[in-house]
Amino acid sequence: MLQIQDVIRAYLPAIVFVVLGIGLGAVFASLNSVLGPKPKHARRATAEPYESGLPSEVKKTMRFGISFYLVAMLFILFDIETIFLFPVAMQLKAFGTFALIEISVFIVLLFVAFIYVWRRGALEWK
Amino acid sequence: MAEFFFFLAAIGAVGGAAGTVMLRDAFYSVLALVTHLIFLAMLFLLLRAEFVAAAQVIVYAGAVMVLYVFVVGYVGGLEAGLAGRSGPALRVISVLFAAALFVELTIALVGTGLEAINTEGAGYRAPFGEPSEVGRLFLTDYLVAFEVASLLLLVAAVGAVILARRRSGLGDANEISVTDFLKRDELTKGQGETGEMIEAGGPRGI
Amino acid sequence: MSAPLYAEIGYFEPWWMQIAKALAIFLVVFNMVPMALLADRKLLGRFQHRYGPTRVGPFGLLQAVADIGKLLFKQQFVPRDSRKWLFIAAPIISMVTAAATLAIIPFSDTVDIFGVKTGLYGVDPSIGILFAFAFGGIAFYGLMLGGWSSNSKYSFLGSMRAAAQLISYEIAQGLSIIGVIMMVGSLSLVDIVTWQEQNVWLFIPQFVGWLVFLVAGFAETNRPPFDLAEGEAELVGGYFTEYSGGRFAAFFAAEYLNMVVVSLLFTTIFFGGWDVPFWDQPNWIEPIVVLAKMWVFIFFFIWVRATLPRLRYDQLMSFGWKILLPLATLNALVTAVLVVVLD
Repeated sequence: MLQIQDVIRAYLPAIVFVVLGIGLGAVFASLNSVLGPKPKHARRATAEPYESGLPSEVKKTMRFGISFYLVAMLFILFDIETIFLFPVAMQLKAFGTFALIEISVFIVLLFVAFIYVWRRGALEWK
Repeated sequence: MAEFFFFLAAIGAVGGAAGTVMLRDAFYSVLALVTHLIFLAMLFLLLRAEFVAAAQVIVYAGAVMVLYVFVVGYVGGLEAGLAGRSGPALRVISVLFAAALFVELTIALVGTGLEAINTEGAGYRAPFGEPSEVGRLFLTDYLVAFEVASLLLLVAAVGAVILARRRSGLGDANEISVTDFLKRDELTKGQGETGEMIEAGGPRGI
Repeated sequence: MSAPLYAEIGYFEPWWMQIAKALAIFLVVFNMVPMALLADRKLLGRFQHRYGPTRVGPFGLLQAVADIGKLLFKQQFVPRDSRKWLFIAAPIISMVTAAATLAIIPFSDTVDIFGVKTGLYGVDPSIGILFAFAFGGIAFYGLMLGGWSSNSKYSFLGSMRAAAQLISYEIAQGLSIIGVIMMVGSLSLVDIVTWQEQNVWLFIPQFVGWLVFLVAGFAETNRPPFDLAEGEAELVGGYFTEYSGGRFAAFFAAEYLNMVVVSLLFTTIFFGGWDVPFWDQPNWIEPIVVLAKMWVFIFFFIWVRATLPRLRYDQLMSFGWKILLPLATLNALVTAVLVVVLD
């Protein structure tokens, strides 16, 4: 019988990697405050958003195009397909022909969805 | 050690959920929800549901929330707020629903008799929660659900395309779509000159 | 098909060994980042009939160190009108996701170190490669938040592009692995390498899957010719336009670390990992074999960067959706049939 501690033990190295990533990222993100110059009078232009020479117009209301909505929708669908296929693919050898038929039906149905989406022009990037 | 990670995940999940409801800016709400989902995946992992944890992050945090980000990004920073109608009546109703949910969950919790509270909890058999075991269940007990899922995704694909109004190419005047709905909304009115930044991907499309 | 170590016999290394090996792997691989940076500049120079950096240190070998040093001595500031905390958090998220993915890369099988049986990999969970995809999914937020919180139009356009690009190629990348999973019957990277040791390197039977994974890997790391998220010709710097100093360095290091990790994934999944064909290699040489193969792929990354022009955005999207996705799907289907028929 394994208990909850074992999960933590099993993933301990991964936790170390995450902590190292956070630590290193935090060091990079904050080291300039220590090492960098600290001008007495902050210049206003320093913190201006980049614009090649012109006064930069900052707008709080930048928006995505609607095309992204469709891409994200389709992404969800096919992402779920992929995640469903992973565990079943592992069992392909154990279940043989039966699993093959089931996987084929699954993939073909989604391929139909894919062809539909393509035919309707949803994959044309606008 | 175990308690530390449990409480880290639990507090993170509750905090993320609270942030989702309470933050004013929709974008921050979405980010709070992402945090919530990631900590929830951590709880799944502590329960040894490894595949569910991975799927949670990949599908919810990595895919569904991407859609949320895009939708919020489309509607804009939302200084106006997606607050919608709010009034005393709505508040009373929401409090009532929250109370009802609380009572229901309490009944469910107490109904278990809290038997496991002083024990080590249920033991763990080796393949439980692993992808191979999930795959085996997909092909045996949950075969129908597995196949219906693909049908569901097919329907969803059709729905997505129709919603984005690509059914008959562009611009069929008789179709009403989310695009139109959002464009017509007051939220986006008067901000035409800010552009939709759609130029990033080529010619303007809608 | 072997279950992971801990599930089978409940064995882990002692905790100090787990931490030590994680630190060792991270240190070694993270030191590849400035080396990759330098290799990038040197080789690009050679590809373009230049010398590349030659001044700092012998043959310019310290150039990358000097670059990082310079960046760390810059003034710290946050652009006006940016969302400060998100702006600071974004490069850290990128760094974490790149570092965490490293945890599943196996450098060797279980070996004896000071009499302790140690698997030379961070973790070998049963979800294996899904672990990498999970962190790949979170990596989206690093780029996205970096661009969005800057509140500059170039950053915003860059992050939009990055977002759509990452999600479009993630599917192809996931589907291209399905064939491998079918043949091996396990998600664990250690099992995948062991399988290749006993049979054949997977890029031969899974050639199409490998191609799709390779291209998607290029796109996922934002490397040329898929670097539209940065696109310096039109977007200045893309999602990190507003970043400077150490925070910029963090984004930059994360990008190169991603390149290193993806090269390691190519090596592990399709090119036999630590395996050298026709040779019963000793254990100590195996990590070196993995790193050597990794460098071949890093060289390939740079070679491609020097050779191919950047794609146009609509080409990029339709390439991912109309070519890679159906190709990966068909590959999975054909592999399924072949695996069952030949079994």
